[in-house]
Amino acid sequence: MLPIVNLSKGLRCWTFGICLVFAVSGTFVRIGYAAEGANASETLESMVAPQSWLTISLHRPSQLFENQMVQQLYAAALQSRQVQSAINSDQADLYRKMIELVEHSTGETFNTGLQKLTDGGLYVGVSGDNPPRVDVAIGAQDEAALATFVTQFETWVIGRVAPQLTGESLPTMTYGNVKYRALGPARYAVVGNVLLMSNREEGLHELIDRSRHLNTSASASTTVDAPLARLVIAGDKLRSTPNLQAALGWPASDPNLVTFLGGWLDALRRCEHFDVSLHATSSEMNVVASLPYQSSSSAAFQETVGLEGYFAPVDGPGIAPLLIPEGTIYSSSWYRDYRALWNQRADSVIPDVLKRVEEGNELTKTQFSQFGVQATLSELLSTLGPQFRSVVARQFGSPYNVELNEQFPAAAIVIRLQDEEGFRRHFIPLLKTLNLIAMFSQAQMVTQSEKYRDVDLNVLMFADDEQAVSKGNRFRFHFSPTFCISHGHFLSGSSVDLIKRLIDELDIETTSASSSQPAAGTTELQMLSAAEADVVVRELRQQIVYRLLISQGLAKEVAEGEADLFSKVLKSIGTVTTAATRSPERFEYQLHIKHPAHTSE
Amino acid sequence: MPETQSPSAAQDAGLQEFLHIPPELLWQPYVPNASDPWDAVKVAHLYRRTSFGASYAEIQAGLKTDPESLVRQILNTSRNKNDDDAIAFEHDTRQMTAMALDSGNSRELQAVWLYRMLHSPQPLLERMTLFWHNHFATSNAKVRNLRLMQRQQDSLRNHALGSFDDLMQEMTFDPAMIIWLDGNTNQKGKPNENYAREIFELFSLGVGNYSEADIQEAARALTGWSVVNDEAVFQSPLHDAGSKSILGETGRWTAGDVVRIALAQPACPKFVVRKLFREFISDSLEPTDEMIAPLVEEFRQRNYDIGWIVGRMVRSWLFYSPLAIGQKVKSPVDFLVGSVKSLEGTMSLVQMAETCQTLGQNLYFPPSVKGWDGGYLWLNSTTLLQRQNMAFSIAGNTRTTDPAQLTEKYNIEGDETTATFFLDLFLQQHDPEIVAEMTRYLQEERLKLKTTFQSDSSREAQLARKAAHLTMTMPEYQLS
Repeated sequence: MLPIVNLSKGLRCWTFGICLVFAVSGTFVRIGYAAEGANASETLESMVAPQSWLTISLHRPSQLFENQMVQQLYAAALQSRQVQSAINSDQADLYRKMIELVEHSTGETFNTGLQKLTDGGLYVGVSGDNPPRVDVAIGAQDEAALATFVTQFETWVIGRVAPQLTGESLPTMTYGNVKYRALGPARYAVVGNVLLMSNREEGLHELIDRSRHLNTSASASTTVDAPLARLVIAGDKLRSTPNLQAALGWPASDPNLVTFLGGWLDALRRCEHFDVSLHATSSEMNVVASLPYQSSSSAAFQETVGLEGYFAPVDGPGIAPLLIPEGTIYSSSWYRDYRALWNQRADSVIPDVLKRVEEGNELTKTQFSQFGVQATLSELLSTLGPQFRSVVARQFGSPYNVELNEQFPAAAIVIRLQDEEGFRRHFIPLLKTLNLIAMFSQAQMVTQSEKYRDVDLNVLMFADDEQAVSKGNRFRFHFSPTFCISHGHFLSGSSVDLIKRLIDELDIETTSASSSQPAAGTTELQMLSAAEADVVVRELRQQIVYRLLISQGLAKEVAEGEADLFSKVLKSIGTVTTAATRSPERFEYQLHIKHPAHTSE
Repeated sequence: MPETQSPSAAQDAGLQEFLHIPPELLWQPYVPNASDPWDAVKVAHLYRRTSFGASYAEIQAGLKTDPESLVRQILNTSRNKNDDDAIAFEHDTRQMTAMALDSGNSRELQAVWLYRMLHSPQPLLERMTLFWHNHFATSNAKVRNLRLMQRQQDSLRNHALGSFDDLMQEMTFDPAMIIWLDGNTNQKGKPNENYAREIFELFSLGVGNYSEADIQEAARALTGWSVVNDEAVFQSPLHDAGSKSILGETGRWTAGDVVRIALAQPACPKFVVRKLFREFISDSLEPTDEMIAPLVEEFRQRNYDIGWIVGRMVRSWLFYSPLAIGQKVKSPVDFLVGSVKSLEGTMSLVQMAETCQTLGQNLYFPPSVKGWDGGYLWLNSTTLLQRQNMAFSIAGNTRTTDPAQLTEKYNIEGDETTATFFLDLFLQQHDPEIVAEMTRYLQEERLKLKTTFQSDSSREAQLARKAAHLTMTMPEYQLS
């Protein structure tokens, strides 16, 4: 028995949940006969794939649970009061029943039982419309276990739904020499160690036909690089989704879509299909979402080269490397060329919207003039970028006299300046005006200038005399908003301590010959250090416990347990990185999680 | 005591006869007997009035002891400042209070207080702190300083079961109180009578036991006190040091003397005892002077020992009589905290504080210097509906206050047993007709719940929740 006896029941239940969904519509099947045929050219995956606009493949579902991180996360989650409540709730009743069925029918623990029933892979194909046809093929490791499971499931279903649906037994039909059963509109059959299901009679017949050519030794799961799970949706089908249709229109009718989602929508507009796969080893997990571009000239948007300026050019200067000062919890780097986006506005939005956008832009000049700024919004934004970076990191010092029991993390944004002179001329007066407003507000802030490595820092601080401290809340003393210009970048952050450390990082970046430049075509990078987050969580433990106490009314010991659990979860995760890349052929987004025992740092 | 004269016999005779019973008998300690046994009704009643309710296990444990032992346990625990659990709890809640104050959010401070009410090992102390908060009603709406409000609450807690004399002295110089009652503007030559009036009218004597002249003179005596940098400061140039005549006593009185003189009046102990009567006995029965006379004199002789008089009241025949049991309308705090305690669950304390406000009891923000009127005024068409909605929400919450967890814990099976259990838990009584009606209801619901894929345990859980909800929406549940 694996030590992870009840590991990932939720995840496994999700797997079986899918099984069950199709079971209700696709019914469960009696064993027919083993696959035959000299022409063994089919795999389970290919059996469900023809004409499918959506395919889901789980090659060996139980492999996911061999991942150390998943094991630790699940073990930790099970200790949580909230997770236990959810597992024991009515909503999870059905899943608990499925677990019982698996264990009872296989005579094993749920882990091992699930392995027996699904380790040949689980494959779903969806095709057609109104309603779509859903075909499912599940390969069991153990033929006898599959047969027993199906029998017990039928008994349970009959006991629950009779006499409403079926009477005391399920009707049995035959196709070729394969017996199959019906439950409502759905059909199911067992062929050897494979469970076949479809919500259409003809669908099941086709599956049975293909099963005659099933090559049981040629499984995608045996391929070294095969993903653990994969989902593929045809691009045309994705684009026909009602909510997306409006958003994907080109030129766009909403400038916000262009500004905030332009590049992503562009990729969806041009992709042949959307392909997301999950790879997992014992120590790492990798999710890759890939959108290959259309190569056919019949595609409606094939002419479009795509929105320029939103993502880094394929062959041009890309994003800046991540900034990772000491204590970094999160760091990101992305590309956004607002000047380029503005310059192609006539192509990006429809004429009516273009007119409104340009008029609105002119209006901003009037509004900004109240703050002493003589520029439009587009002119202001054109001084910024195209490399943007942000950092969230622990603080290591405070400019205040007030003693705090803990330090909240600080956040900062670092923006390369395309036009530093223009930025200084327009933005700095605006920021100083905002500072003045803060000073005269009820927040009781003071502004002060400070020099750090020849950089002029503008720091906003809260009054921290005794009276101010006694009257107000102490939370504000975690913040000392600061901005400055350094090394051709604008820096703005919640604490002067972090800004100073980022200036140091920029200095190293500028002077060091071996700065790690991201690969060509990389348009976005993110890094989350769960280990650093855990340090913060432990420092803020008292606050977290307090929040749990008042937000959930837990007893102190229980709240402390939940807080410690959160820390355990973070320790299990390690480092999470994401990367978005463009090439002439595709747009790709990767999420990578590395278990802490195997992190190189 | 002859049965014909005992309060228990008079329960059947009705109120009029009851009121003819000599008062000293009313305040005699209750002794269980065959016609008036120690039962779950009385145990739960004691817990509701001295704590904020009790769980099923606590009620069952209380049944196994006797009234005197249980009262002594409740009193001694709450008065013992050296109790280890109390010290640890106090340490934890002080940290929580500090964090709430740091946030500057009054809702969080309310939440911390509710945490105390739910989890304190000295629940009577919290009950009395809430009582005094209503007596010395001070609102942050005017004080606008949560640290001062909390300091006041700490003072109330410190003296809640101690001496009323000490408590009055403490409150007279409390910074929040000074701000609330315009002590800052009460200066020599221009006295502000607000503070003096409330000391006499609302804190110590009651209407009709002082004159306007007494108020004016007392106001002069109270001059010179103001709040500077969150501290009560006496500034002698602002104090009227001349001779004053207050309630028949003449001298160069100061603030402390005002309190001393007030407490020396015969009306003072009577006033305080009446207030405690309303808190512990009934908020609809107005006691006569004769009825409370045995308590009044001894209260004064014991230097206004609050713990003593509370103990006397909750030991008495009157306390365990039909004139007291179920004779108070639950305040919003009682309703919510009591429900969570009965269900042995948890609840978001911030949400609880918000709900208390919605139901008319916004902690730290009493509506006026008179405090919350309480009694039937807690209930109107809006608040009653909101209480019903809260009952539904609490009884239906599978994560925090799930009644199904109780039926599982105490092995309650079957519709009639489930009905009886929740009637016992919430009301400590099960009228056979009500049991039968509830059982019928559960049986009907059981048939409706017979859906395709619901497991038996899930069905039983839902029925338990329905039974709990039904009981919590009964009119009797609104009464303490």
